[in-house]
Amino acid sequence: MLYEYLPILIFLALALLFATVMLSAGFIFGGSNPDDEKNSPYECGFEPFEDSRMKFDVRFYLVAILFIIFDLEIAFLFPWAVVLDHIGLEGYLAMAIFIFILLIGFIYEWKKGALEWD
Amino acid sequence: MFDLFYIPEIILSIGILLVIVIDLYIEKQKYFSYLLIQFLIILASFYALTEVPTHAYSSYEFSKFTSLIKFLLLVGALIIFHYTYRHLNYLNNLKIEYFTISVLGLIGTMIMISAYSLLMLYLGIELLSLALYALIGFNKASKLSSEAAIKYYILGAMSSGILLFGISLIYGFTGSIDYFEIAEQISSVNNNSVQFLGIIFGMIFITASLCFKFGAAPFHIWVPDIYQGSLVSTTILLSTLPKVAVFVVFLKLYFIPFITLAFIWSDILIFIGIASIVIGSIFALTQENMKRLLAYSAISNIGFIILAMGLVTDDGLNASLYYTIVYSFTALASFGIITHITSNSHGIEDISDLAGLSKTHPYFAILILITMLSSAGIPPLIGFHAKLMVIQALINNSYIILSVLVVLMTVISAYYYLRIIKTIYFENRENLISTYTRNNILLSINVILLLGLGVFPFIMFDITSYLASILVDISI
Amino acid sequence: MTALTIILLISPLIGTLLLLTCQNRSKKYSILISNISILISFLLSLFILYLYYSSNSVPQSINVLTFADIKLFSLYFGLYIDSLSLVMSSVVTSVSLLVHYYSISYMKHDRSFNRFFIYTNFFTFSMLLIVFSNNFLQLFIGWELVGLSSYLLIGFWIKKESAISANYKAFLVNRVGDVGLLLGLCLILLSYSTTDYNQIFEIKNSIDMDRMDIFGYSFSALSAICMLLFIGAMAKSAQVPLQFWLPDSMEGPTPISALIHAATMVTAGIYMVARLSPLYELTDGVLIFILYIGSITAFFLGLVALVQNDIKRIIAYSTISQLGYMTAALGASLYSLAMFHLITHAFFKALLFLCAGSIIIKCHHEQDIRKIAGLRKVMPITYLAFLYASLSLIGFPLTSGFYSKESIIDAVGYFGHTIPYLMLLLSIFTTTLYTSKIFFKVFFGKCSLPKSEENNFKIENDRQMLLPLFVLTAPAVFLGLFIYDPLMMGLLFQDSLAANELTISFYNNYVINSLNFFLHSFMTINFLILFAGLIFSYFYFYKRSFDISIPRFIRAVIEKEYGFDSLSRYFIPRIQNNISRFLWKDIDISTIDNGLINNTSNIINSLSNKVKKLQTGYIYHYSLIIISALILLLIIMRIAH
Repeated sequence: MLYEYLPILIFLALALLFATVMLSAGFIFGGSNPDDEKNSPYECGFEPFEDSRMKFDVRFYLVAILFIIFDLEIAFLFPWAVVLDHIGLEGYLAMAIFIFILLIGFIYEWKKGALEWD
Repeated sequence: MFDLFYIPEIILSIGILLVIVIDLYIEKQKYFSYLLIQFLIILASFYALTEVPTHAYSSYEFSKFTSLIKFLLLVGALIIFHYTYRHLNYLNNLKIEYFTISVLGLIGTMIMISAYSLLMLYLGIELLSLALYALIGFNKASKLSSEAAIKYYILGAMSSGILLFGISLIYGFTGSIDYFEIAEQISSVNNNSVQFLGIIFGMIFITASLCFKFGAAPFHIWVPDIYQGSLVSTTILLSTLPKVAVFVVFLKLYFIPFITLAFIWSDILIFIGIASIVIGSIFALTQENMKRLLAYSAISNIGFIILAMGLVTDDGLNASLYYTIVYSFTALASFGIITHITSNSHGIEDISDLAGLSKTHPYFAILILITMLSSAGIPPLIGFHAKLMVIQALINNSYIILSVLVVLMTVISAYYYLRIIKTIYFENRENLISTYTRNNILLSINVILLLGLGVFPFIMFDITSYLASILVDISI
Repeated sequence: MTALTIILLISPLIGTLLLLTCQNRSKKYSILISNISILISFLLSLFILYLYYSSNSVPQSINVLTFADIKLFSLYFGLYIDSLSLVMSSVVTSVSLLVHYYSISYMKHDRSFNRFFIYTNFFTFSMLLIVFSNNFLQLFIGWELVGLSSYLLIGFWIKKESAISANYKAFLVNRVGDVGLLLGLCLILLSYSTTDYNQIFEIKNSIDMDRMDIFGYSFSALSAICMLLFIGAMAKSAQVPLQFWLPDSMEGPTPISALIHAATMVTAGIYMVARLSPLYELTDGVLIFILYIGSITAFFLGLVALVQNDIKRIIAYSTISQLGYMTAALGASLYSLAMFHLITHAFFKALLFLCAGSIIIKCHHEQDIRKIAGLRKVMPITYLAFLYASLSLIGFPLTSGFYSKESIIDAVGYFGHTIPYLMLLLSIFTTTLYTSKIFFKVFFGKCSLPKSEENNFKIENDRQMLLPLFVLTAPAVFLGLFIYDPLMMGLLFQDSLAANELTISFYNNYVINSLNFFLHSFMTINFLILFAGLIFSYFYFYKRSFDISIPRFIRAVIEKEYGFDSLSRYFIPRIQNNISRFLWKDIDISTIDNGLINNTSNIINSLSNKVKKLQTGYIYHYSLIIISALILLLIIMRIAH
């Protein structure tokens, strides 16, 4: 039974091997002469104004999260729509409950003002 | 089909969705929403006791045992919400979302309890964990709170991964996620086969993950930081409801699917139990922060529960059930008292914040005194009987050295419980201690029960032996 | 009867508690409470005694209250009501009552007046607890309480150094006895599994010769028990070699000496042996030991009294000597005679002490008889009382002391114990000598008091101090005559004491009746010795017509109490000090406190401080720990299976 997994093991070993060989080859053979200019981020010819790791407005994350939730909903809806003929009323009700819960989430975020930028 | 609407999980789920919407429209009357939630819980607890669905569901179990435990959880939640509302109100941090999220976590614990398949178990654990992540980070103003939330989130995700890996191993080697089928599969497996090894690996992964959720050493590492970072009301929740639920999951997992592997997991559980007791006792010794200290105390108490369970005997089972209930009770009381008190106009953080409490608020001082003495295991308080039962079970199973070690650790832990009492009664410091109420009947009852049930321990003996007897009913 | 007995017993205790509560009130409260509580006990004792004899009751053993009942034994408070305990309680309470009454005046200038009565009341209660106990545990508790109260009372004057060392000594010597008693108690539990007197008396017949093996030695359990218990009695009743605390106990107030010597403490040992006479009757070896210890004490400690000059110390040695008589009687199985002598001795010795107290007060706390003289005219009442008490003590015919003491001597002789008999006979002489020594020196000669007081006849002393003297004179002189016949016929103590038939046969064959015994006594060697003693002391102490120089060596030996004095004064304290210092400095402080206790806590504390740093707060450390813990579990599993 465990022999069925042998290819996976071989695959893992090979992947590991390749990765190490590649990385170490670059490390060994490649030259490395760092100086200040090389290490600074490229900013189109002039000195960088600020740290390249700048702060994002937290609202970007909020929108992204909300997007993911409703995007995932679609991921559920597609397969459900394909087999709707076979799963009948029960399947329909289950998805209805799911959508209903999402709806409440939607109402909540709307009402709380999460969809407004300011 | 419609009898499903009577089970507490469904009542709570539908109800809480409604409350979320209602709260949006009556934002000013938070007390009304709060009462609505409390009503929901009372309703659910009523149905938890009265209605036991007779339908058999493949991955979900209803029995007297689960109903009783759910009832206990619901009552616990009722009390915790009672403390929480006034605590948050007092800190000007009251949001109904706190309660709705808590209820969602509560539903998660109930699913865990009733789960009869590994995936359903995972679902419950995740629901609970998601709620807890949010609750821990609730105090947005505090850096510690956010830090704790992130820590718990990342480590929790890791432990969920471990759990899922364990589940997939079990599924891969037994071909099932149903408890009963797993049990059948395991009993037919040869002890020396690869399959057996895989199952054991899966079991250990699941154990590790559950121990993480339980807060048992050596997976306890998150506990003190998270306890310290979150609000006291969250700490009560963390130290009671999930622990009871995880305990029941432990019971169900080990005594149903993995019962034939008892010779393996008993050693592991005893190791974890002893490690928790030792680490909990020794780390707590020099803590200055009240919540950290209680966190370590929780770890050592969890150790007692797991240790008793690891004995795989009737008295061990009884003792662990007894200890769980007593522990939840004591935690409810000790954190409950702290929710009532503020020192220097912030919540209680350090032990020294409590200095001088006996002069200004003798009522709360006495409550803490009794609770701490009970935690230290001093007769005739109930904590004594709980510890006694565990140690007795150990001795009955001829783990003499372990029992000596446990007693020694109890002595060490008595030190830091008594230190709190010493601070309250014998240290004079000018702390601006204030409470929002002179007394609280629920709290008083809670503490008096610690004493009363300790004087008449047979009441609790009867309850736990009844619970143990009905637990055995379903596992066959 | 049970209820009354409980009241009798509890009354002094309630008195103590009440006294404790009104410690800071005026003296009147103390006087009232203490005297009334003892009076209640006394009256009840007499009443119950009367009830007991008039209703022909049988001995009763009642368990009143059970405190604890474990497998091995049960701890309960019980009462043993029979003629022995009732007679004893009557003696105890009557003497105690008189001493209380006497103390009102004796202690009236003392600053700790109220404290005194707390102690005395408690003392009486403790003694009654012993008297009425029906099991060994209660006996032991009473025994310890008596030791405690005597400790408190001997050291009553807490600022007097000699008093403190005396009570320390009394306490320690009594501890030695307590160890014996406790070991005996343990052995009883071991072999009989009960502490109840009656049950043990019943069992003992079946397994009296039960052998015990300890460290390879095999011996009779019963003998060992009796021996160990007797060691306890030796300490309490001041028998050789545990007698040396008693003379020092004179450091307490004089009424306390009366109480200790007459009623409440030293008699406890005698009473216990008498109470356990059914057991002792079965152990011949122990009885012979007791007999010899008793007669040695009687003779040799009587000699010591001769060379003493402190009035109270002389009387104290006389007590030891008289206790020797009682012990000898116990050893000869003459239990009722021992009890008889205990009773008569209680009265005349209490009288002697109270007289001594009266003299001491009059002479402004002067106790040296060389410095006191000629008090006959100044203190006529004390003089007479002292005369009667002395006559009783030396056993002058017809007095109480005569009946009890002569009977013991004659009976010991009658049953053929030759050596003890001789020793007891000789002590008649010494008794006569030391008694007359006090008598002649104190009351005759040129008055030692200042002229101003000498002629002040009207105030001999307070009336409260003189009344007890009157009252005590009656039993001290005549009690013997009245109870002699019923006692000897075994009617007084009925079945409470074993081996009554010995006494009865002695009575029937030798005594016939009290009058005959009196007449007969003039023709015995006893009287001859007594008479010789009197003549001798008349000329030696009173007329001073000749002087005898005792060889210095012998004098020194006697004065040093045969070495017990230096033993108790130098060797034992030194050894004990060294042992105590070792236990204190090396064992307790260095090893236990610092070594074990503080080190343990320090180690654990520093351990806690160190391991605390494992909690770094970094998520990657945490995840590492969790992963390694998981791997650890897997390893454990592999190793275990």
